[in-house]
Amino acid sequence: RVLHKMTHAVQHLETKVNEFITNLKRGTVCGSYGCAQETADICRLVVSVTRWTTLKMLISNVIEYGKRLQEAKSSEIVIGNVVKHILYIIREEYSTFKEEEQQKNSKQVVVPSLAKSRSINKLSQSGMIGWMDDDDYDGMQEEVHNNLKSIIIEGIDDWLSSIETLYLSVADEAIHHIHTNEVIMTVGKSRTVEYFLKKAASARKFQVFVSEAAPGYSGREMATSLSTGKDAVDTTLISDSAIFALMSRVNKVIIGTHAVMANGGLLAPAGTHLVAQAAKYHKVPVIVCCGLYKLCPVFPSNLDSLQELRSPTEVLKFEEVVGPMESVIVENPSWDYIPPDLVDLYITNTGGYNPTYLYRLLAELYHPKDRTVF
Amino acid sequence: MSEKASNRQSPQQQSPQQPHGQGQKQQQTKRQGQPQQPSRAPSNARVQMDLPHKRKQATKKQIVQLKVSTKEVALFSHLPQFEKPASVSLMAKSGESIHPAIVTVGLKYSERIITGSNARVMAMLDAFIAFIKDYKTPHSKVLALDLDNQLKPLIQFIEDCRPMSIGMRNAVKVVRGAIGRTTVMPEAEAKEHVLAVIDEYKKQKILDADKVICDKVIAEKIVNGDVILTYGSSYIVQRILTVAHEKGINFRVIIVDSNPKFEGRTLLERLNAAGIDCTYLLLTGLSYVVKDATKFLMGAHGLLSNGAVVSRAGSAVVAMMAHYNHIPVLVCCETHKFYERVQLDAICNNELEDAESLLRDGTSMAGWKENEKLRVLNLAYDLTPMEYVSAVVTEVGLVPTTSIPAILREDDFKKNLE
Repeated sequence: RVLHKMTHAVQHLETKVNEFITNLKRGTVCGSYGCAQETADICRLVVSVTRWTTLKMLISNVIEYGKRLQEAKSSEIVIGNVVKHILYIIREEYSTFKEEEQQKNSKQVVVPSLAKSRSINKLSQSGMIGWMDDDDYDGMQEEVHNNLKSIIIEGIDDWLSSIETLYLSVADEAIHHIHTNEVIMTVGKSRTVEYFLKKAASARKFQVFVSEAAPGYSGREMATSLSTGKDAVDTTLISDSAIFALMSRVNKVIIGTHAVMANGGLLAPAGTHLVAQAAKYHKVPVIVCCGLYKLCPVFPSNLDSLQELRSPTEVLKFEEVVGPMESVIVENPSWDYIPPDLVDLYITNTGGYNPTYLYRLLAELYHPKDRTVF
Repeated sequence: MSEKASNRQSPQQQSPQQPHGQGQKQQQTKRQGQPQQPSRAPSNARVQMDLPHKRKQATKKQIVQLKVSTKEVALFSHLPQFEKPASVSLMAKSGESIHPAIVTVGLKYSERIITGSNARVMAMLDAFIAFIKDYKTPHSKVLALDLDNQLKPLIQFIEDCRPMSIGMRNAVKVVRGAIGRTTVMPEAEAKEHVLAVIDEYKKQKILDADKVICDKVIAEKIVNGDVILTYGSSYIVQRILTVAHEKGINFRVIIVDSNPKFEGRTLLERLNAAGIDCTYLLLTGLSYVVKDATKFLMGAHGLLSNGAVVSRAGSAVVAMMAHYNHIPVLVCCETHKFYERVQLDAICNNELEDAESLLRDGTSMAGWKENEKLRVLNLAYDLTPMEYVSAVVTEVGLVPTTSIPAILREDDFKKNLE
């Protein structure tokens, strides 16, 4: 009966995974935040539902599902980030758990009559706490297994709840960076930036230029939502062509991003590079607001694999391309790579960082073995 | 004749206290070989619309009463922000003794049917030719004075329809200068003189200059295997590329375009029809393709005395990206578009266009007009700083941007000798 329950649960997991993959392929999952939450939910299910008896098995299960999800949409790097971070959580929880178990058992060894061969093994292994523990005792006891499982799931839940308050933690920094009568420039639409600006607007008066970011014109949505509702900000919508012209009057550039590379560079929506480069000329500081889950352990060595070319009809409609115009090549890239020297500050849910420091954060987010696992 | 150079925003030309007789005297002194005074740069007192008395002055001068924009952007309060005049109101005002040729050309400017710096100058000069041909000196009036007085409301009308371009302002100066020199001539000769000056200006300064620039660029600067980056639509760039293609040079073109005008599409159609390989994309995609380009060819609305290039909004962005990727930036500009004014950024002086046209393409922003906190800004021009421009191709040669005031001075010197 227990076996039957398990397969039922695994089926539920499979359905969830397939649903997510379809949504990713269709593009109905909007934004990194949604993807991150879905991925974390699925990993949680993998831990609780799939069959594993050793750490190695658990990790390979998670990697297997993670690979499937990432393959559905390779430009959605956040999926990979979340899976790798969960692997980190798993390894960390496991090593803490093992330490505690060993401490418990080492007390038992002191009473020689209760010494077991296992505890001698553990004693000999007690020196090897830390990252070397991939091999462990064959076949955990069920009780130990369940304890470990619940601890790991707790760890994942903790992480999920921390990213739920992500927008608020980033926005808390706003008051330190935006002052009265400042002129801020931003590109396109970013929820993090919106919360950030509105939080500052609740205390101070300033104005914002929003660049519309053709062809999606996400900037228009951003301008509308910034200028309506509680804590509305004085917003001016501008065309991308006016970026350099207006930059001479801008005090700060505040942008969101799709992903952050390991070297501190950005993978941001197309058009952001123009703003960052213009800001450099005018010596305007560029601030990037993002959650730490967007930080990838990947270095941008092959940018073409991260690029996503969208349909050219957004740029030049199919109906307009007739006759000799058919030989025209139309490019519609989604992303821009921005090198780290163009960014001055990262504001994340854990605080503010210089781009040169980000590689250190990688050590706290990802285990070195998992960084290039897919 | 050394004129007080015209004010950019309010074309009130020579002060009435300086009758033409005096001017002629000055001319004679010049001919006697007096050392040439450096011509005074146009006064910096351009119409600053946020100064109340200046605003009143400018509004009084208007022939077509323009409606002030309800959604003014504070940063540009020093520039005129008017609602686009409806063609009907323009036509209505035309009853006030505005020559039909001028009305037609004004309407075309207002509706953006004629765009592009060269096209606008040519159209205006053609309209002036028609006006001058129809002109008859009234009894007991001197042609030199009267024609100039009759020309003033026409110029104001054109300015109301759409603020004049740099090339147009220079051309107006030349025309008025020519009229001023006809004080001793009988009517027929005077008219002939003015028309001849205009014709020569058109031929020498615009048409021939274009040919020279075109040949120079093609001969020296476009080679096989080139990938030419261009932005928007410039007549001279289009001409250069089509002629180069005819000559058999093997190259391809990347056309960058942007909202709201999408002028690049016109260039795309024309180049494609000529058989050139084109790639088309929007400004946001620039960072993806700029590394492939080998040269950036741009046209200009005008070149300023401090070496800055005034061009269509967005060209500074492309020049910037080209510069940071070590791609040479070539500005193709005839000398008639050189202007003796200095400007540090695109905000000191610019043309603000209709906000609605910015929102025409793509998703609309419902209710933005009612939202007090939301404004839309549609800038027409952009200032490319000197350091981004590798060279300027003019009919007098390939010059660095630092030579522009020298060329202006030489032009002035030549004019003073006439």
